[in-house]
Amino acid sequence: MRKNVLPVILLILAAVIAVGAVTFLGPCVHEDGSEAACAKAGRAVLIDGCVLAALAVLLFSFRKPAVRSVLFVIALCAAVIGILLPGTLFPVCKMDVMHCRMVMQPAMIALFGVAGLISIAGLVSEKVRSRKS
Amino acid sequence: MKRFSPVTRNLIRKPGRTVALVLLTALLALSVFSGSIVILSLRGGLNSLENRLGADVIVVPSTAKSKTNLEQMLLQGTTGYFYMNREKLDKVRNTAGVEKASPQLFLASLRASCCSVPVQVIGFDQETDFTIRPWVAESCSRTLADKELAVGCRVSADVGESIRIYGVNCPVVARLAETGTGLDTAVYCSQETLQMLLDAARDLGHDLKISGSSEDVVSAIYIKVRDGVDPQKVADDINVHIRKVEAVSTKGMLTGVSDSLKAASGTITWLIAALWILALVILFIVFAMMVNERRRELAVYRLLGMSRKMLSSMILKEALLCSLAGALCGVVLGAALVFPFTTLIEHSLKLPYLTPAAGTILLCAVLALAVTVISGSAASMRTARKLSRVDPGTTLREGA
Repeated sequence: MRKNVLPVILLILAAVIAVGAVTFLGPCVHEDGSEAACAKAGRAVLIDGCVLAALAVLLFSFRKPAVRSVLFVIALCAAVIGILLPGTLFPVCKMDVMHCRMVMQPAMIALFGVAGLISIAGLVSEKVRSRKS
Repeated sequence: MKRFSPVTRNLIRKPGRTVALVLLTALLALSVFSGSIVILSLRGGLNSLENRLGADVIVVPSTAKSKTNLEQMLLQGTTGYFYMNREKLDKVRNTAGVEKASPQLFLASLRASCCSVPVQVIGFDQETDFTIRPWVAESCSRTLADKELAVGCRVSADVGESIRIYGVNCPVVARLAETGTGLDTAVYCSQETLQMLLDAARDLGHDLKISGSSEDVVSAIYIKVRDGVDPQKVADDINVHIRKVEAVSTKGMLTGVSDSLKAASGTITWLIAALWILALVILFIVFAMMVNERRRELAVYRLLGMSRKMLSSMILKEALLCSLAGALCGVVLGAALVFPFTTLIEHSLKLPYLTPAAGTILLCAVLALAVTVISGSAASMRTARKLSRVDPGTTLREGA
């Protein structure tokens, strides 16, 4: 039960990221219906959130510390990529006051940052578990 | 080999209690650090606005109030445009008490494919201007040529890049210093460039409600009054004698902003105070509960030969470690919440907001750490004194 605490938190974070990317934490919407510069960043964040959610679900089904460690490492990579997605890997809009720069980018940095820290904590706990067993 | 001191071992052995103490102290540090940064940023924003406005009176068409409020444009960067006939400029210049009067033209670009960014475009008269020119001169010493733009620090376009406004590509030649106001989200150009952009917008079918040539209109007139003249009197004179305009004294505008700032700062201070009282009361309760919980444990320590002084110093060290860890977490969390969301906070408060310098932020962090650690340790002091007086024999007999 205890070993599933971190995957549960990871799953909740991934759900917030994925749902947020298409609702309140999503990219900007143009008045004339054309695609905003940050639309691709929004889609990439959604995909990364889904990947993180899938990794969290996989963590529930595996018990071996070695496999779980690998999954936590992949989750850490996904979190780092998530931090870089809006602004670095994909462009965002040019104004600070645009929704993507004011809300989406900082929120994703914070959420993926926490996901990264949880992945590191998971990695450490799996190492401790493998040493004990 | 000794791996941990008894203090660290005590903290690790009771993870629930330790985490609760760390979280409580983190809450204290978070509230002090983030609250003080927000209050300092609001004060910095007001000072910056005072320095940047430069004019004593601003004249706008009377329709501006119903369209986009000038105050909203200056403080929050709301985009908008309004126009009045250029002949009003001559009438304003002839008003008694007016030393300088300079016109400005406004245009809002769209969140659409014709424009690379929705932004407020401000065209100023480079010969008569006394408000924007000194600010632009800090980054660009020469006058702006046709189509050239100087951008506020919150417009993400570097010098050398171009911004497309109503299909016209305008090169960026300067980035302006931060003011913490809506002026940071605007782009600035010469009046001739703005007239060109107005024509481009009209060609694309945007109804700007201008009758006649774009050269015959202005959006606002910035006035500097003569020494010793009351700006409010000049504003009143203009409102009485010139039809269909609204003259606003910037002093009055700043007073309004200052009042809003006082109200916001007051609310934040009260919230911090309430949070502190609540957290301190909880800390005292938690430490008081520890007296009963750890009575037998400390009695054993006394039987093993620990002096009262050693016991109380052990409890104090535990509290100190928890407070320090919590304070560090709180400051880091506060920084993660306040700094990335600066623009969101500014937009929500609807007030000028200028983040303080790195030195001030560091000082705030150190103060928040110190205050939290001192409070956490002070809350544990009474418990430490009480527990160190425990009589080991009686306590162990009671428990048997």
